[in-house]
Amino acid sequence: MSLLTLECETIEPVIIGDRQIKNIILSANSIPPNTVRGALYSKLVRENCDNERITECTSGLSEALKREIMSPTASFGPVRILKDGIESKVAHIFMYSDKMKEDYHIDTLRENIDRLTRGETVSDILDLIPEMEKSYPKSIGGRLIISRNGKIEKVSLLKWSYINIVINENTRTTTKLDEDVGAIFSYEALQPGLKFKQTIYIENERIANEIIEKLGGEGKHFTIYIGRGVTRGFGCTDCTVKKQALEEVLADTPNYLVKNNAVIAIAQTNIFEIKPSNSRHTLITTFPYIEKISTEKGTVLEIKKYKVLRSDLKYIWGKGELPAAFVKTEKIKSWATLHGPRPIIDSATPGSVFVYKTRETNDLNKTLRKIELTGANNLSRLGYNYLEFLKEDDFP
Amino acid sequence: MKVKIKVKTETKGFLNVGMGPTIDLSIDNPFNRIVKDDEETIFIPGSTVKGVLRKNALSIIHTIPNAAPSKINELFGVSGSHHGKLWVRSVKINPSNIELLVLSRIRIDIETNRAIKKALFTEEVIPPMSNLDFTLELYSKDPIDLEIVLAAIKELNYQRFGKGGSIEVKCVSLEGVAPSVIHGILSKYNLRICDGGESE
Repeated sequence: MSLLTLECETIEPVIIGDRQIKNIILSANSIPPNTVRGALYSKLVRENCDNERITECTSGLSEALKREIMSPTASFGPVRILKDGIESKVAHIFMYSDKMKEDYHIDTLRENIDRLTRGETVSDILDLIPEMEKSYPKSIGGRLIISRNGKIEKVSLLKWSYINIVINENTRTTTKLDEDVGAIFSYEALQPGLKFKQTIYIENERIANEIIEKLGGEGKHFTIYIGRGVTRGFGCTDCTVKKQALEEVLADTPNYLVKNNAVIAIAQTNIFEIKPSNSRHTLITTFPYIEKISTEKGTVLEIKKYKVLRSDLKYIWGKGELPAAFVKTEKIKSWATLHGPRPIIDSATPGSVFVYKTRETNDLNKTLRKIELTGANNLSRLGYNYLEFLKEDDFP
Repeated sequence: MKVKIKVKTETKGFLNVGMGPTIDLSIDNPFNRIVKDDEETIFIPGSTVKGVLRKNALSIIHTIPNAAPSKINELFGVSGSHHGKLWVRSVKINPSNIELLVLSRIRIDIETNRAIKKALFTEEVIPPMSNLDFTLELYSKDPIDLEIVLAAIKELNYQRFGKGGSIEVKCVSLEGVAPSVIHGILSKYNLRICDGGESE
């Protein structure tokens, strides 16, 4: 079981289209984990296969690696943007800034950990929203932040715009404006010079070794192409890869904050769970939280008797009186190159907060660290369900 | 599997590849710029180079034996369908190496061939005899694909580049292809190898 760490820097603008407003395609504010996976695996196929189709590749890649590329089992963790060499993380939804004074932050989770872990009813979500002196609070949940000298700093990604014009496919000339209104469009891209890290968990040691060999070896620079427009000058990213055994990394774990037999987890990626439905009308039901997290030893973390509070203050699920999940929801959808579109799913956004009761287990610190590195369940292979647990050092 | 082609060119006239955001109000059509660590770089998107190469390839493909027109889509890709085998990197220019000029121009009415009143605009240009180098990556073992790309590169000498500009190909360097193949194709198209520019 290996952990590969990618350390990358973008050399050209990276276009990761998020949504479109009229003729402007806006950029995402982060790099999705699966985007890097796609870039890495397509590089392996492009530069090593004797045939451009992975399904017809007869040499250059081992059968095991080909199977991994077609049906990935490796878990690609969240992409951590670096600011001044410090790894960013996702702010939870109870971190607020003053709307008129953006660099002033209050973390109300810090004061309410005891209440939440005791399972005390939070009768009024307003208890968790602070008062600001001169203006009003704005949640920065989901934003990237770094902690420097005890202060919270927001990480903003520099954007760059690129204006383009539609090309007529038949004449290969630019479309005249009077022929096609809206022929000029622009992309928003992430500016070059963006540094990031990503951890990849691979169970099969041989696949991990082969990937490193194909990339040129540990510590050697290689390029991948991320996002859109990769064949015409966008997305070029310079990376290196380093390998460690999972056990080696787990030997050095932080002390996690455990109170009243509970831990608090912050979503670093979108969180959801799929279960068979009890209804006759649908096959599956999706939930914006994970009810139980298990390892090979069985269930180690569980949300019990919970209520799920949406950050717009509406209760959306309830089996009891005790809120244990505070989520902001969004719909996510994705596309698999080989399998086509995936269903649209309601998920909890990065920054959502979950309170988990812990089961009796030795080495809880090691277990929590492993969940942080490898993901909470098998959907982590798709880049979802990564959590970060609060640590004692977070609250000196 | 990968052939890396570096092309050194020189501008023959004033060259503009504009549509950058207007920062200085005195320039209507500036170059696109990237600022990193307080250092500014002029950026010509790879799509500009790729577009010109594609157009050139379309016009010369009939001169290459055994080259079917469908090769164009294979090499350059089809929007919304698949990537092509030819990947073109952007051109980055350090402004301290080139003296950018700002020219005033006027719009011409195509129907009357006269200047349109009050249609003056300013344009940022790279002056003649400036170096413009770009890199291509070709993911193909087929020598016909390489020949099409090199022929399209040679055609740059005779076609427009950017907005009304033109360039001259000085030399190319190739990595990842046998020297015998290189010499055969390059001599056919009268392309010079850059010094130290061939390796397998």
